[in-house]
Amino acid sequence: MDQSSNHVVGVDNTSRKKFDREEILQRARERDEEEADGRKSKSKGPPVQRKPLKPRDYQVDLESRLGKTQVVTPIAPLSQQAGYYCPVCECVVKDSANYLDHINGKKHQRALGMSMRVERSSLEQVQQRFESLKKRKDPGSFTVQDFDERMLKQQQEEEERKRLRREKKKEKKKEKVSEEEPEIDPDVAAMMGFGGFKTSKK
Amino acid sequence: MANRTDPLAKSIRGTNPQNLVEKILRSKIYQNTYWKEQCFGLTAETLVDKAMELDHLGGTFGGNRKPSPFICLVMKMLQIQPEKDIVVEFIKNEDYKYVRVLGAFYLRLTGTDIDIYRYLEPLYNDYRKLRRKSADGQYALTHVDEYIDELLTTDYSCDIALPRIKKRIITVGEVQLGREIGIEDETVTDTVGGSYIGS
Ligand SMILES: [Zn+2]
Repeated sequence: MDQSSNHVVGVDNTSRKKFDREEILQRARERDEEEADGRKSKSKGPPVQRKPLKPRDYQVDLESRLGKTQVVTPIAPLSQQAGYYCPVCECVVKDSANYLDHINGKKHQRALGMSMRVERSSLEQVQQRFESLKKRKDPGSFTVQDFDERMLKQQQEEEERKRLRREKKKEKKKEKVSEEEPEIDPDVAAMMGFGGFKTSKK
Repeated sequence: MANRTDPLAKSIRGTNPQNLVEKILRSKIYQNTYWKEQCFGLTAETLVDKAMELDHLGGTFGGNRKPSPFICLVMKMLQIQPEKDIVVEFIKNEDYKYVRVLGAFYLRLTGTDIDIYRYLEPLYNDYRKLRRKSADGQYALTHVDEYIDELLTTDYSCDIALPRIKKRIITVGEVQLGREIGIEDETVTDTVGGSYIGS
């Protein structure tokens, strides 16, 4: 015991700091002032009014680039890189699941100016919704505009189908050509009496 | 974040409403594409659109237990907790049977015993057909009244454990509702059991 107290007198590098009440109080005051300032400067800007969350009014396009071949280089612009490109946040997401997570996420919705909260609907809103949807499904209120829209949609779908079919055919043809090349010479075939199916019927 | 319960929602049976769906199924729903694509940002009002599009009910199916749209919408309702009169509107609507069943299921999960009997029992008069997707992915035929019976007499439906409710006879005895609970729905007034969920 005695020894240790003697030791402290020698080199005072292990001693505790003394509690200086004045100094601490001073520091506390400074901190308070700083915080008050900080809060003021934060609240100076008008609070951001974000719109309530809305469901998307369009179908998320996850498949338009499915099955396509594409050259991917690291220097290409983001929108042409592999994966799903979000033009709002200017970022690329690697797969559809993550893309959905991204566009549902806080960061993306913030960029669109939305909060993550949805509005609470009233009974009247719900009742009106029922009414308007019922009318829409009612064939009696079928308008010319609806008809035109449907025709257009059908045409587009049909074209898309045709295009796909054409592509498939092309691929098949390519395969066939490479398979059929070592065939018998048509002249020889004609001499032997089986000139092929095309010419036999006329 | 997109899966957060509405901050204004009341807790049901002492817990976050979404917890009424057990954890594994919950995470399956959160990962589901229909959930992410179609259920995002829905309000009670816009949920009507999706509910009208339903063409079958069911829990999960297939080897990886894919959740049905029906169960996703149940989850969405737990998340946004529509007012009781909106749920009743779902149940009372005559035109869309799946909307009706969806409302019934939600009320069975969240309502008081009295409300459950009051609003679900009248549906014993609805004999319309329903398509139900079973766990193996096959569709089976059922009927509204049949399904309501399942909701009122069992404690498990569509892969969700239903809270225990008292037998009807006890409920009737306790509250002396007698006729009020009965089939005539139009006479229902709000004098009994004003409390709805939580509180
Ligand atoms: Zn984004």
